[in-house]
Amino acid sequence: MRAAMSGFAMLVSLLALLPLGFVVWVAIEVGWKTVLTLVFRPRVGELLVNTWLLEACAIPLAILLALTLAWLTERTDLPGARIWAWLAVAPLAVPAFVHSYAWITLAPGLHGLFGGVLVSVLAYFPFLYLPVAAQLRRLDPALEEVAAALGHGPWRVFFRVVLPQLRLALCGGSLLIGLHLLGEYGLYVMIRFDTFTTAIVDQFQSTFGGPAGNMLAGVLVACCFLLLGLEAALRGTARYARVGAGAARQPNKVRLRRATGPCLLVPLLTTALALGVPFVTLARWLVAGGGAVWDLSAIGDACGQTFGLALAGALLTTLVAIPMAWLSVRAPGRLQRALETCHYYVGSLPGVVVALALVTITVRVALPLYQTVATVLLAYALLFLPRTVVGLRASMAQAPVELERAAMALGRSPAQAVWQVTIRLAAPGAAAAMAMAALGITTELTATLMLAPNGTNTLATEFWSFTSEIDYAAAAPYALLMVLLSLPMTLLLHAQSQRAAGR
Amino acid sequence: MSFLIVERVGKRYGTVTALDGIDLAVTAGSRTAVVGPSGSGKTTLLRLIAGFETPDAGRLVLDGRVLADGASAVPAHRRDIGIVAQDGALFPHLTVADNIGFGLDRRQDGYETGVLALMDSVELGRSMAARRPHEISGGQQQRVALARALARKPKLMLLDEPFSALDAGLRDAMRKAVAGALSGAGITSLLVTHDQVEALSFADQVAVLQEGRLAQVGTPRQLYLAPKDAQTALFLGDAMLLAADLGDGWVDCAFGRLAAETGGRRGPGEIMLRPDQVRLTSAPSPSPSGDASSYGTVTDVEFGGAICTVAVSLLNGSAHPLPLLVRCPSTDLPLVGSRVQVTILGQPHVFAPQP
Repeated sequence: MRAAMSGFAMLVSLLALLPLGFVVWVAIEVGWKTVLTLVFRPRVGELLVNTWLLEACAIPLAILLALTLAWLTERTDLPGARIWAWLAVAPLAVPAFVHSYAWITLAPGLHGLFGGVLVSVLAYFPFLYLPVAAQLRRLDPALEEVAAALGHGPWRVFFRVVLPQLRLALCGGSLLIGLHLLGEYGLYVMIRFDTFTTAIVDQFQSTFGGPAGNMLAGVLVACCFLLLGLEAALRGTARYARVGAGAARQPNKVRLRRATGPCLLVPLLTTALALGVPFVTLARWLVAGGGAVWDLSAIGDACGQTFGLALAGALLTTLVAIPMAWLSVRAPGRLQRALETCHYYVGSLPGVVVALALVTITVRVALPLYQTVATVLLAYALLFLPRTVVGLRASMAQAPVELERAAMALGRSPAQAVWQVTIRLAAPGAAAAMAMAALGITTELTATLMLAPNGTNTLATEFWSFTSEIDYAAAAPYALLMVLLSLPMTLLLHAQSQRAAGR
Repeated sequence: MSFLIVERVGKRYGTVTALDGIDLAVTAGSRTAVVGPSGSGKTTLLRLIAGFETPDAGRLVLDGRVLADGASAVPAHRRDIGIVAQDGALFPHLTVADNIGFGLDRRQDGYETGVLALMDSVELGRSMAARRPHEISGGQQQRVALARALARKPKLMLLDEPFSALDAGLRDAMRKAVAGALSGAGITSLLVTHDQVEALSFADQVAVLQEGRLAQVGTPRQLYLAPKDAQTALFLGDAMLLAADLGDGWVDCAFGRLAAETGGRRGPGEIMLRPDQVRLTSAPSPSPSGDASSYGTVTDVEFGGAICTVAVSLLNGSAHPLPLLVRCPSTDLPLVGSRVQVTILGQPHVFAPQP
C-alpha cells in the first residue's frame, strides 16, 4: 500500500516539477550566453524594480491595515465587531481583476504604482486579516498581564509581547499576498502597471514561447523562491505555542470610549473602498446596461463551461492529492517530506509560469495535447494542489489507522481498506477541499487564457474579453456571477478560522 | 504598620457578586495566603490588586499610595507589583534569560550579571539561560517566572497558585525555594491557593475566602486550632465536630469531661477537635476500668504510609454513634477488633454561637 501510494505521489511530484524543469531546460537549451543577455537587460531591470516596489509598498500597507482591523475587531469593544470581521474577509469574494475593473471605472486616470498598490492592498489584505485575527483571539492574555506587571505600558506590551506572537501569522499572510502580487495578471493590465506576469503574457502573445518570455518566467520563478526563502528565514524556528496546561482565559476587551468614533472610521472606510466600490460600480454598469447585457445564451454557455471545468479540475486535483495526503498522515518520513515540498511549491508558482511551461512542453513533445481540455485541467491541478493536499490531510488525520487495519483484518485488500474506510471518513473534508479548488478555478484567468482550446468561454475569460473591448457594461453580469460564486468560499474560510480559534 | 490595605473592596460580574466588602491588611515583609475553594473569588482579589481589573467599590493602598479608589485606578504597569501565574506565563518567543530580563533595561550596565544573579537566587542552573520555555520542566518554568518577577524588585509579589501545576514532591521543594527567595529579598508576598496545607505552611497570615467574603483572617495556628465556624474548620483540615454541654472551664462530650476555654458560656454548644489531637493506646480487654467514654473498639484500619487512619467506635456508642476517625503513625497500629484507650491532647475548640 505504502509503496503504491509513494509511487503515485512521486508521479504527481514529477508533474509538479515540470514548470521548474521547464525553466532549467530552457536555460540549458538557449545557452548560458543568451541567458545572460536576456536576463541582464534594461527591460528586466525595469520589471524587477516595478515588481519589488509593488511588493515593498503593498505588503507593509496590507500588514498595517490588517493588524489595525484585527485588533479593533478582536480586542476592543468596537460596536458591531462581529459584522466588521465578516466585512473584512468579504473582499476576497471579489476577484482581483474585478477590483481593478471597479476602480478603473470610478477613476479612469488611476494607473501605475499608486493604482497598483491601492487595488492590491484592498483586494488582498484579507489574506493577512484572517490569520492575524485568528491568532490574536488565541493569544493567552496572561502573558500581556505579566508584561504589564513587569512595568511595560500598553504600547510596549503590544510591540514586545503581542506582535512577536503574531509573527507566524504575519509571515504566512504576507507570503500569500506576495505570491499573489507576483502571479496576478488581470489586475495590473487594467491598472496599466507592468509586472513580470503582464510582460510574460505580452511576450507570449507576440512571440509565442520565445526565449525572451521564457527567461522572464525564469526570473519570476526566482522571485517566488526568494519570497519563499525570505519567509522561511523570517519565520524562524521559534515556537509560539502557549507553554503550560489548561485553557487560556478570554482576553479582556479594550474600552475605546471616546476613541470609538475615529476607530469606527477604519473598518467603515476599508469596507467602503474594498466592497463599496466594486458593488457600486457593478450596480452602476448593470443599471446602465439594463436588460441588454443579459445575453442569456452566452452567459449560460460560459456558466456551463465554467462549471464543467471547475468540477473536472477539482475532481482531478483532489484525486492526485490523495496519495500525498495519505502518506503524510500514515507514513511520515524523509521521502514523504521531500515529496510534500514538491506538492506545495508548485502552488506558489504564478499561473503564467505553469501555463507557459505546459504550452512549451505540449508543443515540443506532446502536440496532440496542445490546447486541449486535458492540459488546462493539468494546469489547474498543479496550481491548486496545495489546497486539496492540506484539506485532505487534515480530514484523513481524523480517521484512525486502527480502522484501516480492522478493515484489512476483515478481508479487505489494503487499497479497498483505504478507499472504503479512510477516504469514506475523509469525504466531508475532501468535499470542502474540492470546493476550494473549484472556486479557485472559477475565477482563474491567466492559465485559462493561455491554455484553453479555441472556443472556451469561462466567466473569467468572457469578462476579460469584454473589458478588453472596453465594454464594461457587458462585462458586469460575468463579474457579478463570479462574485456570487466566490462568496461561499469566503464564508468557508471565515468559518474555518473561527473554528480554529475555538469559537 | 500595614503595607497593603484592602478596604471594603467589591467586584461584580453582571449579576454575580465575585467579591463583597473585603477588608485585609498585610504587614511589610510578611507572607499572606488567601485560601478558599474554587469560585470563592480569590483569583479576582489577586487580579484587582495586580491591576488587571478595577474594583467596583472600595480602596486599595500599597505602601501609602492609593492604587484604586472606586473606579479610578493606577494601571498595572505602574503599580510595582510582581506576579507569578499558575502556569508561569513565560513568553514562548523568548529564551529563559530574555524572559528573566524582560522587565529590566537591556542597555543598563550589569544587565547580564543581573540576570545570572537572579537565576542563582532561584537555584536555576546557568546552563538554562539559552533554552526556550518549552524545553525546560514545569518546576524550572516556575523558577524562571519567579526570577522574572523578582528582577524589578517589586514592593509586593503576588503568587497565583504557582505550585498547583507541579507534582507533590516538587511542590514542597518549590514552596520552600520561593519562600526563601522572597524573604531573602525582603519582599512582601501574597499567595492565592485552594490548597490549605500550602497556605498554612507558607504564610504568616492566612485569610479564608468563602463565596466572595472573608470568613476569617489570622495566623495559621489560630485558624487551624480556633476556626470561627464549622465550614472554616473543615476547609482547613479534617475535624471532629461534636455537640457538647458547656460548663465553667470544661465541656461534656462523647469523650467525657474535657478542660476547655468556654468564655463564660453555659449550656449546649458545639466543639471541634482535630484528628491529630486524639491518641490511641492499647487497653486491656475485656472490661475497662473508669470512664467508659475514653475506651473504644477499632472497627477499621486504613494503612496510608506515614499517616494511617483508624476508625474507632466508642464503647458508650449512644453518645457518639458514628465511628471516630483518628490519625495514627504507622508503627504500633492497633488491630481491627482490639480495644483502645482514647486520650485527648490539648483542649477542644468551642465555636462561638452563630448569629
